[in-house]
Amino acid sequence: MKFFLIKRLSTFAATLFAATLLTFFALEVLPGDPALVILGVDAPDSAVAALRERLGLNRPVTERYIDWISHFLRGELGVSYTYSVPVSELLRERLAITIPLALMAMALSVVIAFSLGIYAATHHNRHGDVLVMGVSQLGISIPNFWLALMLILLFAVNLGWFASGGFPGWDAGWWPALKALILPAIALATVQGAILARFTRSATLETMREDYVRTARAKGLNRRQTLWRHVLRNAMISVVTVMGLQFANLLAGTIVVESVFALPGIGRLILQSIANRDVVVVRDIVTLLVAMVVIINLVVDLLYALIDPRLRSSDV
Amino acid sequence: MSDKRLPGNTLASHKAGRTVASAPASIWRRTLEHRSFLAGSILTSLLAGMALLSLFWTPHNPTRINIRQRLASPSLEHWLGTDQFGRDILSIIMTGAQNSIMVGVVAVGIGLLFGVMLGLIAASAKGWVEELIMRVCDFMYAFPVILLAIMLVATLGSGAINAILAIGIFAIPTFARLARASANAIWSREFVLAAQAAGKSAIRITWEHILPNIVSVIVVQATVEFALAVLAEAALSYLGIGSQPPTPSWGRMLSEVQTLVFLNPWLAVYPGAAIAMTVLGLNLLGDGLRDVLDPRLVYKR
Amino acid sequence: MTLLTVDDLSVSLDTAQGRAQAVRDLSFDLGPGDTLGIVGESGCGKTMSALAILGLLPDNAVTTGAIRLNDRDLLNCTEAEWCDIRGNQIAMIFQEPMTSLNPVHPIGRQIMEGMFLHRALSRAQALEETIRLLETVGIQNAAERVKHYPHQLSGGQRQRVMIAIALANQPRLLIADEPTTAVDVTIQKQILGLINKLIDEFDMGLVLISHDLGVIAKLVERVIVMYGGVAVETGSVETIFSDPAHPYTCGLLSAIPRIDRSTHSRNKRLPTIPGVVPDLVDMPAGCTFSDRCSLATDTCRTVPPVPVALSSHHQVACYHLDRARAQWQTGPR
Repeated sequence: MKFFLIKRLSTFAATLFAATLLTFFALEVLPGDPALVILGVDAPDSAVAALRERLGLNRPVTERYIDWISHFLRGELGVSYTYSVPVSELLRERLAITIPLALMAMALSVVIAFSLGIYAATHHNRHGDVLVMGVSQLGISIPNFWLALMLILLFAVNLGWFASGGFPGWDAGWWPALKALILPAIALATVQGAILARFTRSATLETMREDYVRTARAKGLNRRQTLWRHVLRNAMISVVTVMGLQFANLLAGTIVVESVFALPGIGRLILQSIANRDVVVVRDIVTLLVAMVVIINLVVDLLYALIDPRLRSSDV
Repeated sequence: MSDKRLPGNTLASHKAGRTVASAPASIWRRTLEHRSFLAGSILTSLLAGMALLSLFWTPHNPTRINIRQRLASPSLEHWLGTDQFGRDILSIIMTGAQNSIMVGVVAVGIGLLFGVMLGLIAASAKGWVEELIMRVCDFMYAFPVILLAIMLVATLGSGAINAILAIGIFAIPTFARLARASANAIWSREFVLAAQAAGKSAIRITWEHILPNIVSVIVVQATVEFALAVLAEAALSYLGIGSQPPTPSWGRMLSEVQTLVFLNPWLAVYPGAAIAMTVLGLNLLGDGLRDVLDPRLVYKR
Repeated sequence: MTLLTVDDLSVSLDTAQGRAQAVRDLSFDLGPGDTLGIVGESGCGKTMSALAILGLLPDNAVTTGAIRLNDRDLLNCTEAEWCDIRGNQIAMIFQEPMTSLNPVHPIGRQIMEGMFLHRALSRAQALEETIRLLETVGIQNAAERVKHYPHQLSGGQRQRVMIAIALANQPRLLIADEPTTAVDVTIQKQILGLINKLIDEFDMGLVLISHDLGVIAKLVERVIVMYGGVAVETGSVETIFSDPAHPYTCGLLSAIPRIDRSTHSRNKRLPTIPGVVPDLVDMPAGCTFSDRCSLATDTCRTVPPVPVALSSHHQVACYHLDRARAQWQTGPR
């Protein structure tokens, strides 16, 4: 187990390191002069040169990388070119929307996936199964931003139950803030849930075919007991792994869905920053998002080791 | 031990608990399996046909602006109505298909080419080369396609090419892993060991033995990746960092009509439906192909 | 009073290819403490018969006939009644010890699960009994091993644990489906010895299923030879081995390699039965063995033979049993 931990943690560190390298150097290739962008095309050369000096843009690349990384790890993320506000502040504001949204979407997709997937598996080859498969097939084919638009049309425009976009801010109270996140979460969760449902179904079906399930029935366990005590725990092992991988997709989805609902989250920030060529912000957000994905995958792997005793035992 | 498994009959298998489909459900299932392939092929052909047709003919010129007829309802002249500039929606949708197909083909092509190559190299070289390639692939999984696209766009600017590149690069690890896993299975087969013992080089073995055996798995994956590519391109165009005007793109159509959706909701329905149907068709085709080109048949060779 | 009565049991399955007759008109009696072996090739219906006795057939199986446990009709039991019987009055052990145990539960828990299902015990009592059971089946350091996971045990040990699970509630009847097929030969002997000892100790009836005649011979008193879902010959072990009367049985017996064959046949090839087992959907209309039998005639191929009683404990279903019998006595053995 210790060996597994060490190996896993070193992979984690290496991946993180490589990711920061990639994001940093990729954005270095950016043509154009950041100083010019800030000051405007008409700025005098001297001012531009001075700004470049101040921003340290003339120093060698490696030196700037190390400088950046050391600051990043300490949480000092520099100052945004466009907003002239510390990036960390910006991020905090925006994350306060994106993270709850992602969590809501994840929770919802899990509920959808598990109920549909397990239902389909226990009604294998009967009408329920076919129905679930059909619906999920549809679910994975719909673009999430289109679903978002349709949801707005139905629930905001036609029925008036929700606002069609925007975020009132957490200061406005728990419920109004959450309410603004419901439709976006549904849009995200539907697609993710459909993907996960299919996977849950196949994982459950596969587990149901295992020999130890037959042993359980032979002991006298009824179908429900067999399902809960023997099938689900083992099936969940592979499902949990997929959930971790799905998180990356979820994050990507929030970027798009935030646009549809005009939610001032991380997604919108990154898009605006690209438009403004605000390299600092883009670099930091991408690194942050990638780091989140890598961390989640690490957590999932550790969870996996927790659930599956074969990985825990030192006799393996 | 001879394989006592009789064709289509799992009774002889000693796994006693295995359920065999009951007659009504099995007929259901068979038509469904074939139906997957059938429906998928039909939808996909529709898409391809639309794109092909639009190269030569569309009901109206998709770029022709006709303000007087803006936001018209569906009529005999404009089957799906017109958009906010009076352009015929059906024509735009048809031409948009070209874009989706092009992106899909090129992106999947990139992913397939490099991915399968990497995977095959990994499987034949083994050792640290394999480890390295697989680590790199794992690493690439940390970057969702949108993030990749964002990075590329941030460095190189918006445009269809960058979107295609991003989607293609994103597809590489998937193909690499698949190719490597399938190739490894074939490498351990006896006829390959025999070829090795006879002195055939790894490259020849890969070309002559491995590649033909993994083609069907790759084809199925390519269909699935195509579907993902269409979705990704739509999302990127919607965000404005994919195909740029005037290239018609379903995704961008959706972003353009977002503000108008209160006036005429159908404007948003058509492009989205087009995307959904295309992706659905491709997914069904992929599923159907998977059943038709049953991997078991591949390994029996 | 008989423990188990099987009366004209027939099991057919609805498959995509048609209706497959897995078991046809199987009948036998088993008294308490009796031992019965069912022998035959893969696909002959032996496992299906066993599953029928436990009510674990797949959903698409159609069962006719009667199965009675202590005069209690089993086939018309509800699922709840079945759950009461399984692991309690009838227990079964399976062929693959490597995969028959849940990898994420400790073995002690898997044994105790069966106990808690059918008896009211405290945890402490169950644990104590489990440790004793493990010792009975020959697991060393039982008190320690109770907490171990299946992957920490060898194949032979896992099969012992399976036996322990089966015995947890002291069933009246034990069904063993190929218990030694997936285990090393040396372990095979130990497992068989263990089963033998336990059926005596616990006074259980035993139905042992195997394709291996040697295994059968060591452990049971009576044998049913099955082919294509039909019991072609039934008799005591001695009778079957010394005086087989069905061509299939003769074929099986002559395929056993033996050191003591006479010189003139030592250099000859081991006799085999030509052909393969027919698809269960595609069975011959008459005797199931007819398309591989050297003695087959047209009647054999069209009309299924009715079992004939050669003695009170010897039954054969064959039109040409006399010739088969004679051939065996005189022919190369």
